[in-house]
Amino acid sequence: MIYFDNGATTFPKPKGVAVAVNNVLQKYGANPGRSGHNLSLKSAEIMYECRKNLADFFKVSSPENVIFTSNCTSALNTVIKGVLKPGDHAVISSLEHNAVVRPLEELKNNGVKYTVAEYVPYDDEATINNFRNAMNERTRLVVCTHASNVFGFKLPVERIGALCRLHGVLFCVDAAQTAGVTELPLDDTSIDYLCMSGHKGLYGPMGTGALIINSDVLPKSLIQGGTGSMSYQKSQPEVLPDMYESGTPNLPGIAGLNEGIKFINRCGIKNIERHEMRLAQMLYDNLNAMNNIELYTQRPNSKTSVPVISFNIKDEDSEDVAAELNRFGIAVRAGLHCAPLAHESFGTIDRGTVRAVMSAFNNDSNVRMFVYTLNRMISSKKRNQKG
Amino acid sequence: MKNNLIMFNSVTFAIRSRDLLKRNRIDARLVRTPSHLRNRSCGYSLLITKNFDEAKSLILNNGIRIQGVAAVDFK
Repeated sequence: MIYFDNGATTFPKPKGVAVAVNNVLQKYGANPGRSGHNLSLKSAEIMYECRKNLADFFKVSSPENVIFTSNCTSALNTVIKGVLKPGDHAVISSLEHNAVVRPLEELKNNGVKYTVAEYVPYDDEATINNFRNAMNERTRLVVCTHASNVFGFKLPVERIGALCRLHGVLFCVDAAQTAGVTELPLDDTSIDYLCMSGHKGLYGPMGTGALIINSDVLPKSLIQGGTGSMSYQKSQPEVLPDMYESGTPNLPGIAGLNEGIKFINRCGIKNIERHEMRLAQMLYDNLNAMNNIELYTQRPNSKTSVPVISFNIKDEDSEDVAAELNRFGIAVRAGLHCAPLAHESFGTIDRGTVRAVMSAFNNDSNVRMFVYTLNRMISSKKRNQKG
Repeated sequence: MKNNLIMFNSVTFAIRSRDLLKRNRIDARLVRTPSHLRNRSCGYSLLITKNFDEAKSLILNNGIRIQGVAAVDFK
């Protein structure tokens, strides 16, 4: 199997991730932060180590500002629903995932409004202008993906953050596709909330994600319950990270995520980015040279994109192409990728696209085999049409 | 009796403080806060046998919130 569906979740995971998950299940899987026995303390240490490693990874000085979530969607929900109040207005980009759009649609029932700022490919100035024009005096929050999960475009989040600061607006970035893939140090940006999945570029298990709070404005907690702390108090503790982490945490997942981060640190994020980008460029060049292939972006490079390639075969439904590739042992994702706004912007809403996303575990021969298979599929279709 | 226990609301603050002290070569042991000191709370503490005042100062200077200090007999 050639796995190019790393945009949905990376596979395989580094070996250390599986070992760490197994160690929790077999050796010390007690409830962290609840008890004083050695197993519980060991569990709490692992959880803290992961929190600290994430804080260091994103250049945040306080590990307690790293909140574990079950995925990027729950992190985004925490920010969107925890910050916006009736009468507030939000601005989002035209490349947002449903993890952003659907909570905002839900909040419309509570008197929250939002405006979509059109992303203009390869023109940061025009994109920033669209964000500026979308803001009004009621705008409290801007939510913006760091990079499109469909087309790979990187958005100018540092400049959008500066614009938000200028207008006293809170800024939330969805780093689902970029965390672990490209650097985003929070000490050097105006990002208030960074949401990420743990199971994509950070190579953790599914069921992991994080919210990093880089602001004094704390979203209200959406879930209240036992935190293992301040138990005499009936109200939710307003202490980070406990405020947002009610209930028993996903320790096996967090231990695995911790190993995923160590893996990236060992490889070097820049080396991983270079490797994945080289493969993406190789794939793009080959696709670009083929007849009947429709591409929607320029040749990707690290300044403007993450290594995500979206394409279609002329007159073919994207799901049919993905199903055919699967028959040849190649895993990709087709359709709308939970991001209909992005597909509307690029005219692909009716049939979606086929998406190939590389990870650290892909190689040149994977790309060559992918291209060879696609060529065979197209040739075979042509023969069938002639016959 | 001199103080030897620094109490925290959250295990995260306790471990962060323990690591901070370790970097500054001050030994500290992570323990569950004894029930009679918890004010009906749950929490974790650092048991510190030497340089208590310096340890407390380091923790506070690094912006870490503490719940209180106490003196206890720990085995």
